[in-house]
Amino acid sequence: MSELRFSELRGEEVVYAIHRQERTFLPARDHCPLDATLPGRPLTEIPFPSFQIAVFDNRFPAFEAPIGAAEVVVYTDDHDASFATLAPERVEMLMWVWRHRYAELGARADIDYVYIFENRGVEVGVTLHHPHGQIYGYPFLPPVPALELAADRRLGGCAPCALLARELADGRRILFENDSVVVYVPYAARWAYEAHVVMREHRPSLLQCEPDELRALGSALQTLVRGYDALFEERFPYVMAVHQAPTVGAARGAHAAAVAGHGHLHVEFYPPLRTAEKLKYLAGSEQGAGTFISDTLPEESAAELREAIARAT
Amino acid sequence: MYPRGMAGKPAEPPPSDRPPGTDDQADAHAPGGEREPQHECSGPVAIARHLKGDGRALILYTREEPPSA
Repeated sequence: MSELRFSELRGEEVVYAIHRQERTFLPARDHCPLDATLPGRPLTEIPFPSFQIAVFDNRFPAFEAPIGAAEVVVYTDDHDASFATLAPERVEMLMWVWRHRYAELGARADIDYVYIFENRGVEVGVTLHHPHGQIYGYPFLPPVPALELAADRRLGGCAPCALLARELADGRRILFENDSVVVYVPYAARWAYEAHVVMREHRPSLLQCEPDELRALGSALQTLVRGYDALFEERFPYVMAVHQAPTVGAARGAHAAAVAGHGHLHVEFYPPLRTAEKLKYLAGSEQGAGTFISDTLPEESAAELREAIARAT
Repeated sequence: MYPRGMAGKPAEPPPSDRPPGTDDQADAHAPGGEREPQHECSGPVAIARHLKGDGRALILYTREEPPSA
């Protein structure tokens, strides 16, 4: 089991999951643990000859019951697929799977925050290429969601609602929108091609979304990822981070007053590429001072991404 | 091991107040797994719960999909 230590200097938790050092690392194509288990072949994590979406407890968890959770979400049994190439029906189905996991993990008293995410590409540390995401159930409120709560207080209401209104009024960084979702490069993007996928209405989490909104969210996510892949005509690495309201543990614990009524479902993408060949590294200013230095203006990145999305659709 | 009393927050069983559509029962059966799967739904998606050989949970989600072109 992991060990949690609080860094007084940073005011943040650090998780020591030393058993993860042994986790499977870029296995050969025919030894993928996320494939279905075919007759006569070694057992994988999913002991069935086919499946649509599978969720299982991570074999090398950063968190595990009774103090948190770490799950793997396998999008398909097609090893060579990606989020971008899934059928629209499968993407919509994934939204329902996320919703189910948020409901179930979020109802646990030991979990303060349910964080759904996908790491894509070796550039962001992927160790398995099979299309999949992960879910962490944190037994504390992590710093980034806490910052979003602080933004609510600073702006005197729902920060994502206020920022969405600003982006719509400005318009220069909007990538596309549909009835339920708006996608834009944020005014103060840290990453060159960072994008936020934001529910148009105030929805604290997937649980408050109507079925049409879930479909629209999945469609928007896939449209963006296809645009990313068209940008440099190669599979685009990113971290996809689903931000929602803190859950039962936080509502009952030390953060109860701070989290009540807060949260606005949105999905943030952090791509590490700043050009087709160059990665953005977190170096002196970013790591030592906590200040991002960007080589690209968000308005220019948005224009490039709009063209890429148009090519991809 | 979690210091500072973190172990004092026990896990709870799955919620009884799940959102609409998450607790409908169905009758489908799937092969494999180490215990009889329990069947539920999340909206249009059927849920089948299993336990892996080492005790970890495995959930399979299934939905009727149009055939691939």
